[in-house]
Amino acid sequence: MADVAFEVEANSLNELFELAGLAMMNILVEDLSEIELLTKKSISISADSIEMLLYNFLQELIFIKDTEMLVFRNFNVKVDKKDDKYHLTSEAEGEEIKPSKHKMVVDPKAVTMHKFEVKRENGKWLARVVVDV
Amino acid sequence: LGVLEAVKRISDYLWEIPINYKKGMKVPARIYANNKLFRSMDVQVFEQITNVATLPGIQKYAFCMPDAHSGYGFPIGGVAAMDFEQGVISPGGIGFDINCGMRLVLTSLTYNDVKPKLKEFVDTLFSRIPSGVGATGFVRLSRSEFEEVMKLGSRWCIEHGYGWEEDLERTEENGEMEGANPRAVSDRAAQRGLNQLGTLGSGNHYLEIQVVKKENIYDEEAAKKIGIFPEQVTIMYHTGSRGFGHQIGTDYLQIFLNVMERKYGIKILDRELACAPINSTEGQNYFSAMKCAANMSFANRQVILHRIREVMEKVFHQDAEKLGLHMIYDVAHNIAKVERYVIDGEEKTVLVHRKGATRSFGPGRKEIPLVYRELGQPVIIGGSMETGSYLLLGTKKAEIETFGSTAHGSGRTMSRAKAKKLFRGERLQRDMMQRGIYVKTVSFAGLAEEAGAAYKSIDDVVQAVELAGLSKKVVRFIPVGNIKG
Repeated sequence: MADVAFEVEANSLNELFELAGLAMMNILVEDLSEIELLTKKSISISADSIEMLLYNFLQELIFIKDTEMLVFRNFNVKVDKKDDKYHLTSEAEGEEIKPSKHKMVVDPKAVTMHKFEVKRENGKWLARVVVDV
Repeated sequence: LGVLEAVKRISDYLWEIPINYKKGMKVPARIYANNKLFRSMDVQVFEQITNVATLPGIQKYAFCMPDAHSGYGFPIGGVAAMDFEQGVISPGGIGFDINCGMRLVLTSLTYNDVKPKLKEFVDTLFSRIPSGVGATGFVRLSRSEFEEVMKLGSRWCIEHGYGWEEDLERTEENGEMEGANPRAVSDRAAQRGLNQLGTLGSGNHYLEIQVVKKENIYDEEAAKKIGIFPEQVTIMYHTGSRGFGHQIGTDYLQIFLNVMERKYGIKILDRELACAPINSTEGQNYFSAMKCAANMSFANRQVILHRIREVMEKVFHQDAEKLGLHMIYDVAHNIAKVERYVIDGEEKTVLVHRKGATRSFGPGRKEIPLVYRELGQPVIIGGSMETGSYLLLGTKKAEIETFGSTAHGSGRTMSRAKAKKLFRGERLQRDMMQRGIYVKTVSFAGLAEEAGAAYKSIDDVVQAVELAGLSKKVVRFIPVGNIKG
């Protein structure tokens, strides 16, 4: 067992989710510019808190990687709040994993609750995530 | 009071953090380690193991093995036995990679037989056993077949031609944990696992070709009985339940967080220690799902063994029986098991959580296959890819002291990020080649993260468990070929 941690700082909630998504992709693929925008995938997530929305979103990316073998370079995220629930839609763009083309690093297998945090500070959104690999 | 001031040294190999160190501790914490290993442990390990000591129903002590390092909630190298009636089950005490484990296989070949073909051998294994990110397994399953794998584990493999009948008795639990119910597994978990049977994985998962040196046989009689001889080539591999087990861990962590305090009034000190009473609906469902993942993992190691036999028949032009490709044993080192022990003079049923810890039963115990029952249970300890690995035997002392548990590997001392900064995969591969170890990898960046220097010394870990009497050394294996995902 081992893990990879990342921290994200963003000016908006949408950007926070997009950067966290890219950080997750960067655990998998060494050079993100190698991912071509050949496929689109619509992702839709809901949760009771922003924290769980991010947790579920990153977990969904792992799920898509394992079941459809897709990695992404653009996420186009929109987060909004309705009736006390947070909703996310993402029009993700990327392609299927090709080990001959993409330099793969390591396989993220679970987002953990270990030191997991999302907060707003001085007008910025911050997140800390530890991923089990 | 800082934790290091609170620790008492009990003996050369044992340390104790008393029950009054932290509010809510129900038992003291005990750390098995020599001075060097103890000093190198991160302080987080002690905080985590004392958090474990607060869990409802914990018996005697919360234990750390000599290879302990901090994990999520529980330390890796942690052992906790819970009262089966009053205690809790915690996914964090088992690990996300449910039934991650080791399998060790004999051959009748010597290093001289293999050396001229080593490159071909490693390359063929590499091409035939999918590894790395995004690899799909060589066993194609329908959803209903996958559910059969969850229920039957290795038995499913044998029934479908992936192995020999004798492989079953040489696997912990005979490769089939009873009570696995696929209905306790989420649809997402099943979808993630469906195409992963017959994959090695990535990260610290590997398959290694090893050699026995005469000077590395410590117990000649036991080695002989097990079928080990000088210059022999052996095969060891390390893998688990892949995304399937991880999804089950993730699912139930959330389920437990939702009910733990509200429904069962249990307060914990770390979200990753989420738990539920063993006897609750949620607890029973998780245990049942955990068994599904354990069985998938046994099956994964079983179909990989079948592949190894196929590859060796092709490379060495002999059939697998003639090549002597018998398993020594298969151990689970991320798992919870129902076992019986004498506690305070009374025989009691407990649920032993072993996270990065190996079962280590002494001679005579009924769970040990007949072929080894007189010797004690084989314990397989994997080192880093550069340094070597061990076969040990379990002891009565482990049963008395640590709920039949011992170490599982070397344990990291350096973060993956730091290892990647310090080492270059391509360079490491060349250096290892010069030292006679041929490595084949999907990812050079991943390889750098697994450099030997990123791990504790396996020799120190094994010395500590032997000194403590938790297991005894039989043989040390040195690597000559390695496949990394």
